[in-house]
Amino acid sequence: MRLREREPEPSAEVERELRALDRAIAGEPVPADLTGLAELARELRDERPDVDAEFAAMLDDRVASGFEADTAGEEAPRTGSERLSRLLDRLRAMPPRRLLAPAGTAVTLLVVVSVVISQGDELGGDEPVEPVQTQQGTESGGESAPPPSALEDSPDTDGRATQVEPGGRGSEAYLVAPEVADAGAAPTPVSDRKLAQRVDMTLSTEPAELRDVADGVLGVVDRHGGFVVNSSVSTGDPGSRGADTGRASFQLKLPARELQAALGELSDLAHVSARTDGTVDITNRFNSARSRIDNATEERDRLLRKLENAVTFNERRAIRRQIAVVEDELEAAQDALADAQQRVKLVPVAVTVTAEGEPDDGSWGIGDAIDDAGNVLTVAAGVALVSAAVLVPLALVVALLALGWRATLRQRRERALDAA
Amino acid sequence: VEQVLAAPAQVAPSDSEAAFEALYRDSRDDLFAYVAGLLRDRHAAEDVTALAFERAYRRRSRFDSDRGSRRAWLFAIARNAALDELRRRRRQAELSREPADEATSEMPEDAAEVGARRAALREAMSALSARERELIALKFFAGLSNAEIASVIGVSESNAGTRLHRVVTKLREACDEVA
Repeated sequence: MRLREREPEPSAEVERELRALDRAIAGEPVPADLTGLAELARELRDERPDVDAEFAAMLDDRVASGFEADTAGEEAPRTGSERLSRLLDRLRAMPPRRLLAPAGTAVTLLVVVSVVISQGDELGGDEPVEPVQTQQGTESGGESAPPPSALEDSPDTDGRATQVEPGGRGSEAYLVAPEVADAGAAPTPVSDRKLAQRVDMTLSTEPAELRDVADGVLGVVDRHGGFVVNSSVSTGDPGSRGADTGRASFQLKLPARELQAALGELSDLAHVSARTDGTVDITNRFNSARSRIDNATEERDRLLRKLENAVTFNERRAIRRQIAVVEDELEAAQDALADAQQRVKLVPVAVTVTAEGEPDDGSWGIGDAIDDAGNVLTVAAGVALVSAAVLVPLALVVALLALGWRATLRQRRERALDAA
Repeated sequence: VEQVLAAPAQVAPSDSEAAFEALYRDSRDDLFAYVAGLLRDRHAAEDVTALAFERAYRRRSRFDSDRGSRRAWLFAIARNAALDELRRRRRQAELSREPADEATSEMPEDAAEVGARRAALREAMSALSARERELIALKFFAGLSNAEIASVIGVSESNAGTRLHRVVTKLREACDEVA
């Protein structure tokens, strides 16, 4: 937009004279009082420079050829430097605004490519990396650290036991380095050691089968003479795909002799997604309880003999009090031994059943296509947003520069006219 | 006038080419007369006229009839080219410290056949500023209407008429003094 100088509206007389000028130029009569003005118009018209015939013919030819002679007559550059020089000359001769579109396109492509590369992880389509499971699955066969639950059996570990979990066969695990507290005591033969086992198992199934699997767990417990310490079953919306649509957990006690058979049946109920077997040596606990029982029995027998030989009433009463204390100790030791025996005979088994929709069988359907399309659109929208965040300010700057350049050019041209 | 050049195509290429040829036939002499009157240099006027037609030819598909007549569009292109020529000559004059080539001697010299009034008119014209001279060239050399002149120089039509009347009055007074 050009700056416009404010001028007053022409008066009626001025407009009349301007119309007279137009009529005079067109060769039409003018009012008698404006003949002088008409004469001036004709004289000015006579001052009009004429086109040179040679120039007119040359220009006619150029127009007829579509102004192609300028480039057609040029010799083709022979060397690379000549080509480069010719290219630079053309670029210099080209108006900046003609360079704007290709430069803008190049910058846009550069920004978009940069954004796409920076978002490569999302565009790559790789499956998300599942977090490494610390528990050891029966199908993986690898080694892993035992879960905290397997190590929380503190009363049995006595702070000195070391667990070893051979992959997937925890029930057949063996204690490697049992520590016995009694100094000087003969080491217990391996075959006589008392081992306390523990099993954590996770089963996964479809939402519709969660109840059946839970019932199956209870059936296994009944068939093998075990019992349920506690259990909980919660079901979600079976229609929601991919979400956690149900969960059941059981704390079981299974007889050690039935453990392998029971675990086998549990494994048949559903897909075993994780299993952890742990074994803890509680031989020391056994030995300690038995030792306490032996000592208490021996002390009680000694006190009984002493009681038979007692004479005075006060002496007999004091011995009876000692016998009562020893019998309490004997009872506590027997309870500890019974607990240890129970711990060995009944194995705690934690079973978790999860229902997470239809398992992915690797096939690709319309649902997967919709998901993929959504992911692609999300990434594309992200790329577009990031690109816009870069390009919009850039475009504004370029637009401002272009406007400034045009305004400057216009002012320079007008100044050249004033200075001429 | 630059914004006219960025307008979208209004006609098909074949039509625009035919329109350009018609524009060239109708405007060649008028355009040269305007540029020569503005630059007062026939050789420079020829170069600028050829350049203006070439630019108009290459931009012919971008002409927008809603923004003015095709003739005004062509003269706007020529005006920019002429002003660029003035700028170039000004830079060269600054570098060489030589006066600009007025080239008035190359204008038709038939002083022997004209009277004192015609001589006075030429003298008055030579005393005009470039802006005033441009108005005379657009109106009397190129034959543009006041509306077309306004479009070319970027002012309102009434403003263009007022300016033109002022210059004509200036010339008429100069001639009347001689008479």
